[in-house]
Amino acid sequence: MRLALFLGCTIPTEQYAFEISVRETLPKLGVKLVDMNGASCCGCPLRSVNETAWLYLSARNLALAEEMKLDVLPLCNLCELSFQEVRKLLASRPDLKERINSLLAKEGLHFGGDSQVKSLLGVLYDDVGLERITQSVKRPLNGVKIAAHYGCHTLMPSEYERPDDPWNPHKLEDLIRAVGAETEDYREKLACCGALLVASAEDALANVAWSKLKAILDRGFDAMALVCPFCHKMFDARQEAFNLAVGREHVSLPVFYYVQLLGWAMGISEKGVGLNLNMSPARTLLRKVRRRRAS
Amino acid sequence: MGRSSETGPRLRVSQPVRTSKSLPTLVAELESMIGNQKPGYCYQCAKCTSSCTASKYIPEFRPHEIVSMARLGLARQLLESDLIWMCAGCQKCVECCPQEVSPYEVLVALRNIASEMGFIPNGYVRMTGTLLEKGLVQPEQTAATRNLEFFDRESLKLPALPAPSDMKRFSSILREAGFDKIVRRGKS
Repeated sequence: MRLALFLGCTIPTEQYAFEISVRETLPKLGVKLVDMNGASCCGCPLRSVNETAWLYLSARNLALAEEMKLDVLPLCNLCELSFQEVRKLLASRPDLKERINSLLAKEGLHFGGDSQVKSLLGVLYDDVGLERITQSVKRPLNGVKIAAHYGCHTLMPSEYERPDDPWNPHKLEDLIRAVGAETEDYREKLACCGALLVASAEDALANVAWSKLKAILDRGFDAMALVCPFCHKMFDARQEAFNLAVGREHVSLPVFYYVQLLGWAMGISEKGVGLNLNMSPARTLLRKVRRRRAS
Repeated sequence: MGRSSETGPRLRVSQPVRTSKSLPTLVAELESMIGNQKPGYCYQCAKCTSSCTASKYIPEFRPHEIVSMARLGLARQLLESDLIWMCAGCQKCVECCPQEVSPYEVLVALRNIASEMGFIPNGYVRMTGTLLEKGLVQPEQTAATRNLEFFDRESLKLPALPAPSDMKRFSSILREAGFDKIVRRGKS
């Protein structure tokens, strides 16, 4: 399977561990990734101030994928949802499609809607499949319990094609079990990371993210696995900042991109999946796995 | 629309600029563009507010009330309020609305009109400027590690950042789409 790799803004400018682990892991599972020359922002961050520009930017990147004759894999949940929204909207509104295509023509591009939009969760679960993933595991993560955090846009709104059920998802949990770790359902599973409050309500954001970290620790999980760069930025990179901002109990939870755990379980080195870049105490989980295996 | 003292959100927005278009014209433009927002269908069950991420910590942010105000034609009060920028964008309200109203899209529409009128939070102005210059809304950052090492794409051996091949043309198209106004207003 060959896919156009769409990185968006947040991943290639700061969430390097996600990009590194995906580039290293997916090809080993039969997913070839082709970089998109000329790619730009998906437009989603600016949808609030200019809908036309949002439509144009998403359609522009979809048009680039069409030129490559490939389906596209946007790694970021916001980009992925944005592409799905714009695809559906332009398919149902020929007038809008024409207007956007007249803008695209100035760059010699055309949006037809031929490229399908893939999500990382969908590619791992539905295309690669649990069986192949289970077979690829050389270092199972036995003896640790990992909480699944799907991220809101992976699941909703379900009027757009989403990779899992909006209220009762299971794919990430199945994938966590496939690498040998334990997991279980928990009440706060669908709680948002709050990332998009960053521009407007920092205090609220700190409380949103900190509360979820605390709930996961209170329920006895050893770590958290997720698939979205914004969620990771909140729970991993800003964990200490939120501890300070909230000023209550100090929480300390190892947070991973799921692909990092998968790659490590497949035998890729810690650096190979960018674990040195995690700001949360990620390595404590791997030490725990090693200790359990030794004993 | 009171503001609680503890969570009281404070938002800097750029100076309003008078638009030549009337409010109904702007609202009609947005409605025709989005197409599927129907605040009139809302029967105020408040499921949106009970599922709302922001509402838990910003009590005065209540999506069902915002939809109600939009329905009652009180758009101007909303447009000039910081409140419409407090949404966390999680879209749970969209998923759980029994009437398919989408408070989220009502908010996006209101934000677009507010922007057209010149009420734009500074963060968006910054992102727009970076987009016009680089094609992405954020420039490359240096990543710090727990061991106080610092990395960028080059030292991590990652390929160069993607960018539109003709940046001039790319930004002129975006300016045509209306981003020029946003950047200029941000500087005023």
